[in-house]
Amino acid sequence: VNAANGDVHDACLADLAPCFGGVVPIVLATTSAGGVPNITFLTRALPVDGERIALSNQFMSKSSRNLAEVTTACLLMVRPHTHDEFRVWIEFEQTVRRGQIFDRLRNELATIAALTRMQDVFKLHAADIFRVVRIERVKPSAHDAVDPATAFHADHAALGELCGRISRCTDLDHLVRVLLDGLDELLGFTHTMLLLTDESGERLFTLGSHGYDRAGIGAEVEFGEGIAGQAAERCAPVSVQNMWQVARYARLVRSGYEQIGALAAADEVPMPGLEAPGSQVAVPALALGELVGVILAESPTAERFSELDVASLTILGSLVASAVERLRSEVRDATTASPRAASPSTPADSRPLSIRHFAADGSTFLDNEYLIKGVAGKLFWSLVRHHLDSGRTDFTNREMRLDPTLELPDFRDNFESRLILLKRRLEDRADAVQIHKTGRGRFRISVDRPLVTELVR
Amino acid sequence: MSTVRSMLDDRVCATLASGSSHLAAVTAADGTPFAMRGWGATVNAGERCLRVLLDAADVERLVDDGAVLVGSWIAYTAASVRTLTSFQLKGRVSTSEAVSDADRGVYERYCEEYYAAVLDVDFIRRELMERMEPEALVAVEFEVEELFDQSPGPGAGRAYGAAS
Repeated sequence: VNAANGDVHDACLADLAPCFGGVVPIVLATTSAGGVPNITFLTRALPVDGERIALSNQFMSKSSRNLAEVTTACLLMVRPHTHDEFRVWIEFEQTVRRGQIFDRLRNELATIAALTRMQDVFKLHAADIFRVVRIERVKPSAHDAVDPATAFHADHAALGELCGRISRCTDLDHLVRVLLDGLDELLGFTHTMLLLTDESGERLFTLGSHGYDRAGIGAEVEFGEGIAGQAAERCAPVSVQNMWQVARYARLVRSGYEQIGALAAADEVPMPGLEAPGSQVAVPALALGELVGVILAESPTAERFSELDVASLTILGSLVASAVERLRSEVRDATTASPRAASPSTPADSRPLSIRHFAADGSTFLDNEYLIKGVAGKLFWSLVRHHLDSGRTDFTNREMRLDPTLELPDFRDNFESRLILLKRRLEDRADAVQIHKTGRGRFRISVDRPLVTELVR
Repeated sequence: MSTVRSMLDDRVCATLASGSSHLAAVTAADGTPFAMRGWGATVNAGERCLRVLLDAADVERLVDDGAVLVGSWIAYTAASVRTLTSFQLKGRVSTSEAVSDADRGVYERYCEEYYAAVLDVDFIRRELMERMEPEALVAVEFEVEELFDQSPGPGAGRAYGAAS
């Protein structure tokens, strides 16, 4: 179809784009000057431009030696949705150890490493750049390709509608619901999470989720760990389209290193959300160059997200980040006076609710079950103490932010997101203490059981 | 050679025999590599000689282009779909001939077990896998002269059983 460099191709490189997703491993064949061939599976490969591809040079010592002698290699590539197979001859051009292509390949390997804490093993030594000499369809099919076209293709109208809905949100709680519900209803992302950056700027915590049996509100992930942590660390979208294979491969490599004592046995980074995701994508939510959080979408199916989906999520990430920052600053600047409540009413349920709070890290337990920790835990404790000491039920964000027991940092105090996190955790557990929004920058707690508190120092 | 014979152990044979992806590479007449799928293998002659099944169209094309298959090196890889255990066997082709009924049985078993493993592990439907099937097969034999363990991990690519 495409003539270039005097060769006739059965397809152009753009047609092979789905082959680079990693669902069906790419096979690399090389040969020595003496005619001894070698076969290896590629860890990662990327198209560079319309004529070139880049291969990760990571575990390929024999292939590298062969390429030094015979610079032509032969690939077998398979389109995952149709299983059309292509034989691709490539000519080695150069090895690069820096630059955009090297960084892209390095980041893809880092994503694999992040799944099993093998950052020291999955290090890209170099990226080899090849010019595509010839593309040949291995077996011209007598039948039309059966392409189930499972990938989402988020359309502009739906994206515009969701942007509009987000723009009309007046508080953070509402924003989280609108975003996650809208991603499913309008764009077909059935399993999603919004994670926000914590006060340390080194962790993400889950503020909202959609499509899971367990909401996982408050679950935390370190920067660099898992897909969401990788997106946060790089401030760039990260996607894995073949989670099963990547996880299986990484697990096997890790166990090999553990057996020879090169790596200590370690738990895998727990995957948030789906137990066995087929594909995941995470995009950073950035505002004015600062990371506010990450949107994570996943699917039980491999090869589920297209580049257009990543672009759509990136747009939404930017919008959400700006909205979160704007809402935080509005609430921060609100001057509403703190209303004081009348004496508390007698709880309807006479069974006491035990609250145990650990001052060291803010860990808080209700009836011996973990509720929350950190700033949100300290906030809960402060609200409960205020309520018990003075009978207050109504509070403002502004006054609570100034509470020194919360130990909020001067910069990026995250108070609003911690308040929403606490509110959602309490809703999730249907506890006797609940938080209700009563206006911009104002909220009320309701207490349905007598409280018995214990402070552990 | 005796070292290689001892290396074709149960683990290697099991990987070749069941639920694995087979690939082959040879060197074409112009000195460049040529990759193709393998469609089943049988270990014969005291576990030194490997009989592998290749797409007849690929082999005919190589020969038409001037390659002399017999006497040339071939690399043959079997990678378990379930465990990713992977071995590469290399040797010089001694025979290239039409397939027998026994070969067709090997091919059918290979497809059944390979497709079942792929469906089981990667959820790829059989109809898609069948799209890659060859219309005709050729049987190629070679004596295994080199054997490498390519299972992912720190030992990937090392000669298998070299110390024995």
